[in-house]
Amino acid sequence: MNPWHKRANEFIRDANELLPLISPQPIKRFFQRESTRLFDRLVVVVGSPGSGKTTLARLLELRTLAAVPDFKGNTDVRELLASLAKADVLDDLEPAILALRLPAGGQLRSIWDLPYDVRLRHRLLRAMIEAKTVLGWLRAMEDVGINLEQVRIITTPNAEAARDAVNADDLSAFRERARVTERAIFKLINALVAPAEDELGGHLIDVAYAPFAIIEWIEISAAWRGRALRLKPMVIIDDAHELHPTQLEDVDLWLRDREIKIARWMLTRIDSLNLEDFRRVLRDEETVSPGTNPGRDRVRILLQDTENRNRQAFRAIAEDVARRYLQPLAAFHRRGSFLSLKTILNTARPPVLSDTDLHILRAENARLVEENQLTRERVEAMEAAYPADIAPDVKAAVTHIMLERELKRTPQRSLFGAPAEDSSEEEVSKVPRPVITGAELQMLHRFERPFYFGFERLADAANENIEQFVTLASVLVDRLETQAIRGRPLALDARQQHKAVREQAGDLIDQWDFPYAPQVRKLVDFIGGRCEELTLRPNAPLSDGANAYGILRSDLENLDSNDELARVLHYALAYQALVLIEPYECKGKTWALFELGGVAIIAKGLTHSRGGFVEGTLHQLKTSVGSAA
Amino acid sequence: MIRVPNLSLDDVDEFISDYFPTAGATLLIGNVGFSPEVLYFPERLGPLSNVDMRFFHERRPAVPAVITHLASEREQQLRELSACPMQVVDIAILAEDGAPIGGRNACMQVHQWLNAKAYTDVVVDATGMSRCTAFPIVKQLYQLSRDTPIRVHLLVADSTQAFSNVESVSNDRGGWMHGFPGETETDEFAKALKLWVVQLSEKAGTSLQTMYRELDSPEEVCPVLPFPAQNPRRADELLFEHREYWQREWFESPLNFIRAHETDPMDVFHSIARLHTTRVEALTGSGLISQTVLSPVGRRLPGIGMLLAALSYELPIFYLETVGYDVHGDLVPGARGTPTHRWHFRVDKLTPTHD
Repeated sequence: MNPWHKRANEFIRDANELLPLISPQPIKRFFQRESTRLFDRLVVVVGSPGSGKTTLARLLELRTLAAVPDFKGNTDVRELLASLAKADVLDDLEPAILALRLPAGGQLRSIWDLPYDVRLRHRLLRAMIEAKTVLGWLRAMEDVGINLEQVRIITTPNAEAARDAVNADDLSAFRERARVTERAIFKLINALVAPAEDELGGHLIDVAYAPFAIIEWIEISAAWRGRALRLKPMVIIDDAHELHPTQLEDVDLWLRDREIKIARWMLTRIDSLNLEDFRRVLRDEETVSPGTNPGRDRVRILLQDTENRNRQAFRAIAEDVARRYLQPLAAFHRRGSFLSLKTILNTARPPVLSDTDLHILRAENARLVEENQLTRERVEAMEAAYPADIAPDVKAAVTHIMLERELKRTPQRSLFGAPAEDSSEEEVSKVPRPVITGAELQMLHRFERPFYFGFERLADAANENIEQFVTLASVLVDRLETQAIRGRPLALDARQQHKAVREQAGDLIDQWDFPYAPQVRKLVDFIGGRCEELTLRPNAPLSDGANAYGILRSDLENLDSNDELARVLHYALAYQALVLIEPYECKGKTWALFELGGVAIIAKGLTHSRGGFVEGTLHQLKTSVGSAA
Repeated sequence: MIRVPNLSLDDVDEFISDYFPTAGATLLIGNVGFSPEVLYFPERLGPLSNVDMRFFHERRPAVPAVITHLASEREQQLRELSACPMQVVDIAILAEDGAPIGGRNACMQVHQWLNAKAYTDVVVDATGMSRCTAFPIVKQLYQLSRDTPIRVHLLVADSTQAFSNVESVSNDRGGWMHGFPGETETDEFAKALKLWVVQLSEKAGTSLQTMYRELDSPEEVCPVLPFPAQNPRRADELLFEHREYWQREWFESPLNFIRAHETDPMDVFHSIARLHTTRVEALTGSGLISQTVLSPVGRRLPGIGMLLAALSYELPIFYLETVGYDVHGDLVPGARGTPTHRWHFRVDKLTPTHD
């Protein structure tokens, strides 16, 4: 099994293969955030595809938790298990919850299309969710070898009638009751022409089913693990955004009921929220401060870090993921030594420009020095203030930018005018890092000098999304694997890394296949083009350039949610072609920034750092996707 | 095996001109498409006084104006062909939240048309129709033909030189086609071994991957490759294009490939039928349940073969809805000639044979 090729953890079926691959940091962070409120009320987890929602759900499944004792002595998994134990998911290394992941799409969504009264459709949906959950719990227990005769359903006190209605005393009757409900609704959904509401008759008796209201615990006798276990039943509605918005609202309302004793989560992509709602969530998240209580009966957790990129934290996670994913690869195993993708990628020496290109650059600089009427000493003083570790070509490119800036700053001198006063020492003494990045980016575009190499830039391109990181890195791992098989040294020089990652980014964009993908591509091209133009200006006004398109927030308010651009943006944000940053304060105004996603940034050759943006208007965005009136 | 009475090429034209003028009240259901082939069968049936023509106009949110414009032109041309008053009904393919609803809407519409008047023959002209509407209504009519003496004809025409610069844009969520649900969704069949028969198609990598994931990694995958094909290398090119998937993720070997004629639905049908029946026989008595899942992707004619197999063996169909089109370059309408491929199937006459 090669996890680099699997891309997403959901393709890894075997719990024994899955556990060592899960990086503990994100899980730890997740459980720490809301540790006391995760299992007693509705939890809504919001994240883009690949942000780890499904991995979370997979982790909580019984088949995964049941495999835990096999990893007792495994140091790779220890930290993960500690987080789970702390969150009460494990009790002395045995499962403490019985979770079912229920995908919300397809069948559940179809209930909405039935030609019935809204209340009846909501009833059918609730009954279907309950039936599927109950059946899933029973299957999950059987799958790990539990004999259902060893299982007891514990219900809330004083609920005898309801207990009888779902046959909770006899497990096989309990299952059959759920199956009857599931079958009845399945038939209704899949009838080519659904029966009219007044023809339903007997069907409605079958679908009157509400076990969530009474089930509290599931007890498994000592026959399974040597001691009796008490599991908290749990439903995880995955991809909840695939429900109809009205259904989602109803399920949300229903599961917020504090009378329900089972644990319940909804995992959803930001698709479930239209652009307006999503922006509200962003703002909500920002106003939450310690000690406040944003939701008494519902906790909303945003998986991606939209407020501020925590680069360092994600780089550490990426490094850990890379290490875990490299381990199962036989080709690397045979090398016998411990391998780190970070070390391999970072040992590549920085590229250098060819002598011809360097010569061109220096000749231009000489011309600029002349135009600026600067002395050689002054230029040398300026260059002396650069960080010591930069290569000669970078130095030349930085000087180029500094000279262009000088040219812009100095008014055109008259032929006979007095020489300009020397600018203060401070002005030349500091060359910020972004200018160096800007110089490297300009060389990328002018001379094809590699820029995207090294582990850090790879990790930064992932938008804090592990799946995206794995997808981008997989091309490099493939090349390394080939070298390992051929018995060659494991190394990729800067040019090889850069080329592979750039090609991969281009391919990924070409492969976008989601609604409005062609328009999203146009949008990315438009924003990318504008950012490139700004980045390549000779005086690098934003130092390392731009990677975002900013419009005034007041302008964004005018976007009608039915407008084509709103839909295009919706999918662009869902698939991280763009990242929305708002509010962003700059120049005394409040902006909304549409920043290119990491993959698009690589494809367009821009900086990964946040903040540089091109100013524009909503109308220009509309024109770029061809939807302007 | 199940036999599907079928005709192709000139036999289809001959059948149409011999049979329909003397048939009873006939309902032709088609779709206002944008390719010129959609006019071919209406040209032959529309002038007959016993034929009522009814058309869907499939509505999708992200369709370039040039395609909408072509479709309006076709609608006008269709109206001119019709002897009896013609009806065109808009069918929304996607709900406002992006969920596919075309199949359900189409079935409701056909239900209304059938209730409005008694017909002896119903013709589904699948030429310009999407799978999501054509497949469910053919199944609806097939089911109707089990209980009533109605005759159901499926017609389809296709040309090799169809618009190659129009690419469809797929939805990002897969689903069971309306009327072809997967029983593996229910508890009793949750443990069935899934055999996924999927048509390989150019640039469909992401769609293939989405479906594979949403089917929860089927136990076995049998990709359908177009061979023989007009471009004899097409099958190899497809294998190369999708090598990442079948080699690394599905872990399939060339032994699993089904090669079926690019433009012969019957070849696809027979291949699937053989595979399915053999597998069911092999697993009988082992306590295992087998579920063959079909996924048409890409070109129309092999998809028709899948439809016939799904009807004959009650197989589920998993697919990704087309949500729009992307046009590269200019859309030059081809000349209106005789389509290179013409097929006729008698859907009400699917009968078991003993060979």
